[in-house]
Amino acid sequence: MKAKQIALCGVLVAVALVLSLVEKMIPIQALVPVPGIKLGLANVVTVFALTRLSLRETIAIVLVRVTLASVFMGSITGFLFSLFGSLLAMLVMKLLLSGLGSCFSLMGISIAGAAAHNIGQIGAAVLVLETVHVVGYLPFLLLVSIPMGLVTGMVCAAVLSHLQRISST
Amino acid sequence: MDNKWRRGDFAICTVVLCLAILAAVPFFFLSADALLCEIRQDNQVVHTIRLKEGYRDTITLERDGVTNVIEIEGKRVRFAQSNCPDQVCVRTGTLTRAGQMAVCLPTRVTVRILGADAQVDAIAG
Repeated sequence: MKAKQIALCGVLVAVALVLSLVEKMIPIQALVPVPGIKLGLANVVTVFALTRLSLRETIAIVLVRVTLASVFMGSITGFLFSLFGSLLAMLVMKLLLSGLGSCFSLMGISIAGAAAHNIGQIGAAVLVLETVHVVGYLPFLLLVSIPMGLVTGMVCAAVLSHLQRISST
Repeated sequence: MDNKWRRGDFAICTVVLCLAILAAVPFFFLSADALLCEIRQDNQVVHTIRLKEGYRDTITLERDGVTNVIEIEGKRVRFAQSNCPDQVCVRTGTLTRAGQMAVCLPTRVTVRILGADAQVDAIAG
């Protein structure tokens, strides 16, 4: 059981890394020219881990994913930004997932996660760069997080329903 | 898993939109409102005044028997009166925008309007 879970965590980290590589190929910055904008497909993995695994395992997956992603394609400051963003998004979604089905859908939870990710990112930027000026990006990022969260939420719902069918047979 | 749009999702969207507006509000005020008027004599800052609507002030500076009267009215600053011989300062007229400047040589007084950007750059740099 333990080994199986470790293996599952490893697979999920790999999937998240592939997703962040793939979304780098989607030219969203051409549509909305704001630094730090992305689809956030790796969020799908976080939502999956939150629904299927414990909080501890989810935190481990997020930490490893963020570290490896910045080793492969980022910088040190980028690492801090996405670390803050990812952890905040994870916490917010963990809290909201208790109301899944009754109050919220996966789309709403993803939107909240995307918004939290951006807030965490900008918070880290304020701390690292020591200016409040970067908060100027936040309104755009928050507005964009609604459509982006919608897309990743729909992907999440598709993934979870397929996996439910697989595990029930 | 059914993934219908629920009532709570509207709440989430509303909260996100409100946060976006909240984060944007201070920047509208900063860029539009924060004008500073800096008055120097002998290249020493004697007054720094934040310009805003409804604010009125009159500042009198003197040197060697020549007197300048500088009038601040809302976001407009001008040399209202001067008994210097050339009257260059009075003829400069009213200053309203960041970067504008009026000078009186006999009293060695300069009046400048500074924008908020100058301050922000100083902090960011």
